[in-house]
Amino acid sequence: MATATETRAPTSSAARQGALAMAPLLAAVAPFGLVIGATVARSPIDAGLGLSTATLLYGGSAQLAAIALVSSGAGVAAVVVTVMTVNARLALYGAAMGPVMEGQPRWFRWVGAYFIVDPQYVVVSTGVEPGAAAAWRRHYYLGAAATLWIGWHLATVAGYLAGPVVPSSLGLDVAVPLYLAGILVPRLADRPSLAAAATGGLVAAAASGLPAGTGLLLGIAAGIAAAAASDGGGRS
Amino acid sequence: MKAAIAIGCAAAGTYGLRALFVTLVRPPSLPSALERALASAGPAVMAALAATHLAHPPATGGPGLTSRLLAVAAGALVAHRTRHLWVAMAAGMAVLWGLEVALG
Repeated sequence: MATATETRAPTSSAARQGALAMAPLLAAVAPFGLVIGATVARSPIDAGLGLSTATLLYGGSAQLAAIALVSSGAGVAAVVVTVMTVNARLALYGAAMGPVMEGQPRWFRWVGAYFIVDPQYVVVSTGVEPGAAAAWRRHYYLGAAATLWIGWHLATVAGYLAGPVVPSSLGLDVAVPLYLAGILVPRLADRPSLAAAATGGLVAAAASGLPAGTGLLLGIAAGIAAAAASDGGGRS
Repeated sequence: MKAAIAIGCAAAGTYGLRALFVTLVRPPSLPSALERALASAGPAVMAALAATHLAHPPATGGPGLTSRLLAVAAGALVAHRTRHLWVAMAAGMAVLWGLEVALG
């Protein structure tokens, strides 16, 4: 028997619904794209390679980490390990996408996986009804994904183009740690998260003088270890 | 060349993470300790990135470290109070520019 979603919402509107659901989140993350583009413009990294991270890595924190490490001369292993650590949560998102991917053709699973990132997970996990038809779910997913992907790339390129014309004395690069602090602070809701952030930040700052981005890696590892140590078997 | 190889390998690994439980294997029941540790990766990464960026900004000739630290602290406080990203970033930049003007 057809669900209410199947009879009420043809696939032609599903993509539009996904796009509309993504629009507010895109507006929230677009500043990060601008900052990343501007960072590429001001960093020694090759511009094409820096901007290509928007497509290849498709994730703000991972892009920023990769750009920072490559700019500091880090080795391949350091970049890969850091990016994989930053993006480890994407595997969990994929595991949680079961209700969306159920009954989908194989091509969509392979293509759709590429678009898994924080805003996509949020929109899809909250906007897809479990009983919806596979075609509806697929169109909704792709509508949201296309909106974010296009917007993210436009923001990155805009940031790259605007970056060089803005005087460095304005300190617009401070927008990067400001953005990170802005999205981090509301998430510090328990002891492990606080321990992770405090330890990660302090260790990374103390070790920032180490070559090849080692300080960043050490900070991340120390933060995760601190969170695990303070967890004590369950979140408080 | 090394940079391109690094980004390429990181991209392949990232896609592997995304596709792992969507196309390749069924999602296992992760040990709770591992799942909790992974949940803390986000705050650790964001704090480490912010600290690294503050310590070594990509551009020279900009505001000093003290102004930058105070600006981020102000932004963090506003984020805590308002839970609004745009407001927090605007407040931080306002503090930064105010300090630059005041300190000359």
